[in-house]
Amino acid sequence: MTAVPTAETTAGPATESAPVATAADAVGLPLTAAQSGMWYAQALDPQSPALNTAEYLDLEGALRPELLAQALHRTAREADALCVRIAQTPDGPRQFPLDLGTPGSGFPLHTADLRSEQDPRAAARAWMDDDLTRPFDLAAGPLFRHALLRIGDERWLWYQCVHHIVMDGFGYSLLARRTAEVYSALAARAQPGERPFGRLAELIADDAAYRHGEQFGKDRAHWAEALAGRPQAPSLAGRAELPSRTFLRRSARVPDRTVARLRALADELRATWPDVLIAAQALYVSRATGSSDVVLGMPMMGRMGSVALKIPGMVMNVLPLRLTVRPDTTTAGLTRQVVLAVRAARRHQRYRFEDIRRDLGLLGEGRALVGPLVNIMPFDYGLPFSGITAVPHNLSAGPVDDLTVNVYDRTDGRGLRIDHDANPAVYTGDELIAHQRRFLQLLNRIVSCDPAAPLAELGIATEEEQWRVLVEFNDTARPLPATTLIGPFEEQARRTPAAPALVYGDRTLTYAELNAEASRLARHLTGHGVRPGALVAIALPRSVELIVALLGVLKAGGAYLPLDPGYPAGRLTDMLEDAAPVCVVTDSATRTQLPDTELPYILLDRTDLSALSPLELPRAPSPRHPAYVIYTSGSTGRPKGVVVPHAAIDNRLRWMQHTYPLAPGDRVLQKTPSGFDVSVWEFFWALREGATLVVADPDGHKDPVYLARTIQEQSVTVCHFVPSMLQVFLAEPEAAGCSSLRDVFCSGEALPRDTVRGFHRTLPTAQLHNLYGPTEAAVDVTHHTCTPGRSGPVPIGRPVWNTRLYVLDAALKPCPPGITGELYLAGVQLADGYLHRPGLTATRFVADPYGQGGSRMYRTGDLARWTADGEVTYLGRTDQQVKLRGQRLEPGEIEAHLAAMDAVTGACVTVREDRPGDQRLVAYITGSPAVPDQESLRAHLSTVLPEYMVPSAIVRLDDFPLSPNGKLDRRALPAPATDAKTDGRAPCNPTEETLTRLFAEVLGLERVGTEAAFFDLGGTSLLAARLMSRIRDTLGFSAPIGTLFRAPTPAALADRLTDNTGTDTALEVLLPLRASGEGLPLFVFHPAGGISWCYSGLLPRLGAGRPVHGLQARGLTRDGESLPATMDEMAADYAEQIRTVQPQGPYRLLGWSVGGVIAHTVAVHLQQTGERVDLLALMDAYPSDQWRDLAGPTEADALGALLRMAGFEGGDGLTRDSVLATLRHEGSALAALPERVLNAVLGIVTNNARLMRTHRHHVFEGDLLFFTAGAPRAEDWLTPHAWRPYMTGRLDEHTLDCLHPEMTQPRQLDTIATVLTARLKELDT
Amino acid sequence: MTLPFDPTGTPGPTHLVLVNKAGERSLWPVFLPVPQGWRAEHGPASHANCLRTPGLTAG
Repeated sequence: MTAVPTAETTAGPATESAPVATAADAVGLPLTAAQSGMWYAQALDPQSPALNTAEYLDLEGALRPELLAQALHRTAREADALCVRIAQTPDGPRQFPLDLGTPGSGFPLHTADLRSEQDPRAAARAWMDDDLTRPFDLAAGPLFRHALLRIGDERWLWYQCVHHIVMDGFGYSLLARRTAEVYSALAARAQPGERPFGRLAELIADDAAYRHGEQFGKDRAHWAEALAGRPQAPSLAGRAELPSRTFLRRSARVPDRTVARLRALADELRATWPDVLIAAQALYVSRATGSSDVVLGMPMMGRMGSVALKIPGMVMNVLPLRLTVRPDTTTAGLTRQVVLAVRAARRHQRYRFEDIRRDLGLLGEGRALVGPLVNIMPFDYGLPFSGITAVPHNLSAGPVDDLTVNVYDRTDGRGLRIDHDANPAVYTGDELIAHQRRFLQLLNRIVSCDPAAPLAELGIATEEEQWRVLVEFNDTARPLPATTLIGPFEEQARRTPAAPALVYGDRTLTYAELNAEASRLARHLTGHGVRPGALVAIALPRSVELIVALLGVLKAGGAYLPLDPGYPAGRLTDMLEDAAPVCVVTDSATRTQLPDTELPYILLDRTDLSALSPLELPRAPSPRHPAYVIYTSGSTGRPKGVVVPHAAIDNRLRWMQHTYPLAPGDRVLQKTPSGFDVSVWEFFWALREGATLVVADPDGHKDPVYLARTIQEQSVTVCHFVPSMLQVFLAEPEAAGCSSLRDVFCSGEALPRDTVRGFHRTLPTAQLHNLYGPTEAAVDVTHHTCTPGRSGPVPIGRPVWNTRLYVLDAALKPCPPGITGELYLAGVQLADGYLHRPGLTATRFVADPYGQGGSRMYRTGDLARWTADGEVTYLGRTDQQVKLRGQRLEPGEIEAHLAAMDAVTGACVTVREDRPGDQRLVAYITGSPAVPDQESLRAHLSTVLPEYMVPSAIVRLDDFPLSPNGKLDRRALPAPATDAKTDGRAPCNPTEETLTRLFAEVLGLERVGTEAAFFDLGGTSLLAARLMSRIRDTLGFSAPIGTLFRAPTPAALADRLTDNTGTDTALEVLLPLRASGEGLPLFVFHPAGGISWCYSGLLPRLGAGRPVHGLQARGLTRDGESLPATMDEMAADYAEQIRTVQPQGPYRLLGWSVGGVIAHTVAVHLQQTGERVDLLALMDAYPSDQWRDLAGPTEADALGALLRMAGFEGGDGLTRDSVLATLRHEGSALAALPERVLNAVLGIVTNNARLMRTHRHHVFEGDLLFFTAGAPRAEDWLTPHAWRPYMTGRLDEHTLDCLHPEMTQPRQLDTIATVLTARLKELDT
Repeated sequence: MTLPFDPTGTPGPTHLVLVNKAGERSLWPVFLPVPQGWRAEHGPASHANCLRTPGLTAG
């Protein structure tokens, strides 16, 4: 690249307005509200170029570069808002005028002639793209730069890059227009017109006036009302991330035909084309996010009726546009909404976006206010360049939080251009392409449709995507023989009569035996009127009899209804009344747990079947008859019975056998209770295929050790776990011995990736299959085999045979891959419906618009999306239904029971996860004070609900928290009270202790727990900036503010910060209190207890540049490490440690109390080995002769020393418990030390006391800096002059008004640090 | 997300009751065309009214 020398600027015309120096220049100007947000954003990540904005103009004609350079210079000087630098001052960030050089000497203009490049335009583009990635230094300035790149004889690219903090899009147009004007004047040898711009000071004054004026309050009220009860931010990606340093861009031209129709439609609707385009984006977002309430962000120039119309600067604002998009909304209706919303937003456009977010309490991560931004730039420059055409191209419109759709209307006949800009942390390039392609297709369809027709007919998937998700991904048709659940078992019994069919404890039954038993029972049941279509309840614990009963009912043609005898009698009664079975099969022990009804009870242990024929019955059920009825939780307070026909479950088992073939010799574990439908495949799959069923003990499924042993002893090859139980099982050491396992199936709840990893680690030879399905579709409808080494959510996978999955949006249109919708199921596995509940059946099993005529689909209520290769990922629920440890429950059912109680007026049940992985069911109630206490309520619920549905806590509230639109605000429900310990443990290392202190300081609180989140405690982004700077000064960890969003508690932050430094050094001999910094380090020595965390308070006070290392006693980290026998031995050891940090002197040493004596000894040792020690500072430390005659310390003395180390005065009668209680109460990190370390500390105290008394001091060659605790004390003989014999220089004494233990308290540290800093500075120079 | 089979919160005639040849019934939102193989048996009517029709009450 050849640089063309820029022509010397000719002397500027006399009229050129030079910036006038004013008094304000020295103190600078404050930032506008708009700029403050940007300044903060840049402070988050100073090296980020995200706030660089840039464009280039393609200039064609006989350009005179020297004149353009002059014009640029003159225009820049006229625009004082542009010519600033912005620096942090004690009053916050302020902007200072910046003296710009002239082109060629300082003015930021780069020129280059690229004509000799092979592809000059590409070379220019590469140069610009590279320049765009270079961050500006706000404090230094200038905050803009130009380039003039020649790419042809008459072709130039004029590039400008400006930090967003001084310029916005409208400002660009003002600058470009003025530059063209000046250039044209210069070219014509005429005087350019007068400076057209207003001044920065006017802008700031206007901003301040607005913020203190009446309109500000009106605007605030407007936005509060407009956004009341708004939905959560609708990101198309379904998640939020912090802005990245760069963005992805995908550009497209809107086809001319679409543009023409768009303009015509806008005219027809008496709107503008941007209104229609925004409506299209709202529809797209609504469908893609599944929300009818959409909030888009609309950048506005923010200059209405203000002086800013004439000022090129940063004024623009982003305003929320809230729109309602229902499937029955029409294009005309939606466009009308946009027109009105834009109009309202314009009237209140000066109220800052950041202020709206703050008003709504949305500061902090993941709580965005708006989804995608629609940035419409209808203005074109139409630049008056003399003799030159200028075509603008945007390169960067500023940072992209999520997705920004930039639309440009160029008057040159090139039509509309659309740039989709995306945050690469949220979207991949492919996703971005897909969004743009769909949006363009959707826009074309909207403008081609009747504007009065409901938008329901418009889906967002492209035609190709529709075909994939409906047809290609669902290609599962598989013709099967018409059989039943029981038929294949009978065939198997004929094939292998002598093979073992089931094992229970010591009992083994062959296929022939089992078949005969079941046939006898079937004959007996037939006698009770059981026939195809009839229902038989079975209430038996897991046993051989249970399996005989299941088979017997099916052989008789009936459908079985499992009853868990552990359920409360009330629930069993409801189920029996609702289902009205022909009879109940049970045994005499279980019978006592069942309610009395009119039904016949068949007690198997009292019924002699031996006389009945063991031959199979002639009357078999057909595939269309029901095979079983299983009850699930119902949202209205009543459980509902799902009726599953034989054909459905037969398909399910045939698919399973094909996919994971079982053979004779396989052993399948039966451990799922019969009331849950997973048990159906466990019971029947093995028996249909000649394998052996291993039946677990009745309560065995809850006991991981029992399960591991059973699997090993019985050589089980196949079994099932609910993921949470799998986790428990894998944690059991015996699980690793279960090497007989070949196929393990998971279902019932989301399978965490971590569990998959744990599985492959523990059972490397087994396969793990993730299955998914509701009881309403015969157990499972999707499958995914987990592979090691993958990351991200575990998909639920692909459809099973003869099954179709639809992911549909709110208008029942298919969602393309990657877009979340509700999961619908269709095919042969659908249940008949809910027993005796036709209304409920008609709302859940609905007409299938994509299947064969007259077919149905089941709506699962599950949120899901397709992956690009045809697997489905589960994403949660559309309703309140929850799964707790694999069990499906409807909070509504529990709420109904609570609300039915006396004195309770309202109830709400939810699953909370206040700590990761700790899910609990919590109920909230309102009612009179006569409401029974929590335990009585729980006791009552346990009489009507199964155990897993009884909340672990029931909280009484005066009122439910409501969102502004009057709905229950679930997020505002309080966590149930817990005991104080769980509110946040005590800090357990110096970093945590320091952080809790800094959190408290910055937030203005007395104390902050280790688990308290910064933003929950009232932290704002500006406070966050302050906190991070305090952390930087104190601990020397420089982390971007973003870290705080990800790790908002002292504990989490300490983890993050110490991760950077590697290992936990809290108790090592060498403790890097602050490892970073430039100057020589200060070494600080532990007091009697051996721990030097007490010096952490010095860190912020000494300034950030100085490293500080603590020396700590041996014996803290490793048991049995011997304690030094003499003070000299200790000093030699420490000196060696010091040399690992600083190999050579001069050394600076500081010690408090015993630490002072150690510091002196180390100093002498270092001098004896030829090193220089230029600072020895002691904090209230006295030579050993002053102690020699005193008695050795008692345990109470040692405990007192421990307290003093934490900065507290000791006292009489100290015990370990009382000392620990004090430390805990004061939030000291020492309180969290394990018992072992505390014991070590007590030993160290005793040893140090001994060393102190026996040590013989040598002479230190040099001065002593001494801090005396000057308050009257019992040991009145202590005096620093006692050091005279052991030093040669000056004794510089500073007396503090405090007691010895108080020396590390903030006020004293202020004084000590001031003296130390001054001395260190002297030494540094 | 907004679901086409749930009450809309508005009292208007938002739904139909469809029936197929097998006598199975389905609630259906009025804003969508009736799928093949189904015919409207009741409505347009409110969600609650649809659920009170004889075909959808327990019998």
